[in-house]
Amino acid sequence: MACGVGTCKGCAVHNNKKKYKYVCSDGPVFDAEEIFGGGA
Amino acid sequence: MTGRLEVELGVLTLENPIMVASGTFGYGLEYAEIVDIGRIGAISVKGISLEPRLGNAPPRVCETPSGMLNSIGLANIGFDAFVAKTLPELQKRGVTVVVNTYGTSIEEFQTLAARFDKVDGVAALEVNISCPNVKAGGMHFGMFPEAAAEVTAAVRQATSLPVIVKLSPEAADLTGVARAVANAGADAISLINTIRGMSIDVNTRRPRLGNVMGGLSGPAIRPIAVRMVFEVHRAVDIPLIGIGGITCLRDALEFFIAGASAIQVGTANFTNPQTATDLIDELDAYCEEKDISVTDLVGTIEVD
Repeated sequence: MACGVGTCKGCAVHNNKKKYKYVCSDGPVFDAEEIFGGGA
Repeated sequence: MTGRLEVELGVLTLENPIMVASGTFGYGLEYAEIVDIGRIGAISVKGISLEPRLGNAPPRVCETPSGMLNSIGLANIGFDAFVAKTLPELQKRGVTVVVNTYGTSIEEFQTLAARFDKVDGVAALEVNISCPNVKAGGMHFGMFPEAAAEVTAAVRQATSLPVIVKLSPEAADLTGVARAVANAGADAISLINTIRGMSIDVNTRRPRLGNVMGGLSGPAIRPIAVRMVFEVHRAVDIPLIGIGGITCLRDALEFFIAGASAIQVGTANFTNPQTATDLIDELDAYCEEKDISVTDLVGTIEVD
């Protein structure tokens, strides 16, 4: 990531709903399912 | 503050010549708790498009020696949200707001200009004809004098706000683009935007950026930016705003001497968001010590 504070929009990741989440401000911890999809 | 830092960029007067570059400081508000954002000469906000944009596929940034690549893709909240929610908050804090605008067509640039013309709290528009990370518009308009002039004229027609046109280093004829833009009515030129670059992960053999290429910024590009400010200063009479890897006073002085009347801090904000406000203090102390105004420095390079 570049700014680390939610402004540069550099740390985008896709979630399982095809939306962008930002690791610095929405994370940095996510539910595994949200990032990798699927179930057990 | 001694008053030595005031600069005039055509019809736009700034309290000091230190700005922050679009895309590197969000909309300014995000840093308000740790930076006195009202002190910054002007904040060029993240590029605003008519409709909100989500941005490009990740990964969007990667570090490279003395700089970084970005392919954010002009992710922004769009005109409506910016005017309704963000601009009033910036006004409350006494921020000098330069609105960076992006369009995929000349009509979009013109529509944005016409709309911002009617809005309170905007000090100037910065027309982004130099973003390398979007499919349409952006850099395309900045590559050729004719296209650059068309966009500038369209924007000029639509607004009485000060118009700053932000140039790309990728133009084959940069001074031609600069002249065309000046003749088409730009009040000032800001340069440079990023330069297309690429980095490859040698283990996966994939590009490190999701969009394959991105814009290179930071100290690695500073000599290119200084060269271009020098060249464009000799080609046009309108004021220039220098951008490219500025991290400290010495860097800023280089740009003033080359011909810039103001500068923008960009990539350096990611390591120290207080770079701009620190620079204001350092520049003020420098001018006080030399008993000059910052305008006395502009274009004073000695070249035979």
